[in-house]
Amino acid sequence: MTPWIGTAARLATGAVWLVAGAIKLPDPYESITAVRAYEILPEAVVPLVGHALPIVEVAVGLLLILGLLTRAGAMASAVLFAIFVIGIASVWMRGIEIDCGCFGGGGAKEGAFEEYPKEIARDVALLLASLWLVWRPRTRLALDNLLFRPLGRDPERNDDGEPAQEERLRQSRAGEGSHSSAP
Amino acid sequence: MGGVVAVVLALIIGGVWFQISRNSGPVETPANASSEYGFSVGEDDAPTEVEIIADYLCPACASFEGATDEQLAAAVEAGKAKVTYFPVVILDDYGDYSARAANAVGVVLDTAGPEVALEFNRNLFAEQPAEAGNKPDDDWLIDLAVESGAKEADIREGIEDSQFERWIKEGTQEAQRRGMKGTPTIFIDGKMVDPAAAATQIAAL
Repeated sequence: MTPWIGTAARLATGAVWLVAGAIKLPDPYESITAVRAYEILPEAVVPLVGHALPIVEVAVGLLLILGLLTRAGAMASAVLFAIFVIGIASVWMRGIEIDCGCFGGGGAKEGAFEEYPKEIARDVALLLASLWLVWRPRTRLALDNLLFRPLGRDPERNDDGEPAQEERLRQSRAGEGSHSSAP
Repeated sequence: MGGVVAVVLALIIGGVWFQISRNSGPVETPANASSEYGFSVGEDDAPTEVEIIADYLCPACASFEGATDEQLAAAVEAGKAKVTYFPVVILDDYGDYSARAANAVGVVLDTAGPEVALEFNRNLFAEQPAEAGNKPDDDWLIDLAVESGAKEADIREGIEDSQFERWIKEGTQEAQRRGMKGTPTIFIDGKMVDPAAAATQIAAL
């Protein structure tokens, strides 16, 4: 069961990153505006972060969806969500009303205070899903299982620690056989 | 494992580099622009300098313009003020009208000079569409620009091709760096002034 929880966490979190990043790719200026609006980073690094963030988001999304380098992708995902939670909490506390720029947009926005609790709750939930994957990176339907199979392991066997169904059947049949043949 | 990590990192770095390179290189600036991202009327040595940063779709910008335009024109005429206008785009959530209108002002500035650009600026605010709903098309902008004194043959291509799109976007970034949170943002003699207070100061010019 555990590997399937991980698969669900991977696909949900990865899809959010992929969508959030892809929306921002066409207009880097908008992304820079969103980063600047938090009034946290110095102006010298705002354009670089604004340019880089959407690419990093797409990359983390693809890694998680494909199940490639899952632990590293989940760690990056967890760190980013933690930063976003802190960022939104920070503007909230300072009384700055902005569009969080989570899915495009960004900059000053009236009525943003109402959105902050929902945005933080969403990001905390996704942060927890990411941490689960850091803890249990082996999941079903992941590229990691094909690429990084430990040496000598039967290719038919899933690499999440549970034997494949055929193997389990074989094992149980072998067990029965040995019992019946014993006098 | 190391190979996969290297490929992933290379793709990320390449992607970031591609995004940055899309926004680098020289920005085409309209002829007759007075400062880097705006256009001015009035004498350079006028005692007061007013800077108006506005989005053509913003209702507060239209009402500020309506309340101060005549006084500013009189102050410019009397040599008391130099006024610089910065078209920016912040209301892009409502579609591309803000960007098209601001670009059109750049094209008119480029081909017909600051006086005609200012007249176009006036007309854009007088005929401002609602934020929500359908927006006028490029032909409407061209007609309004011609009405303001521009020549259709000179401006059509630049308006339809968004010739000064990057100039407008860079100008918007610069306005944010100067502290713009919303529009209109007004500077008087280099100091940011709340629009209501700015209107009072302008009335006293």
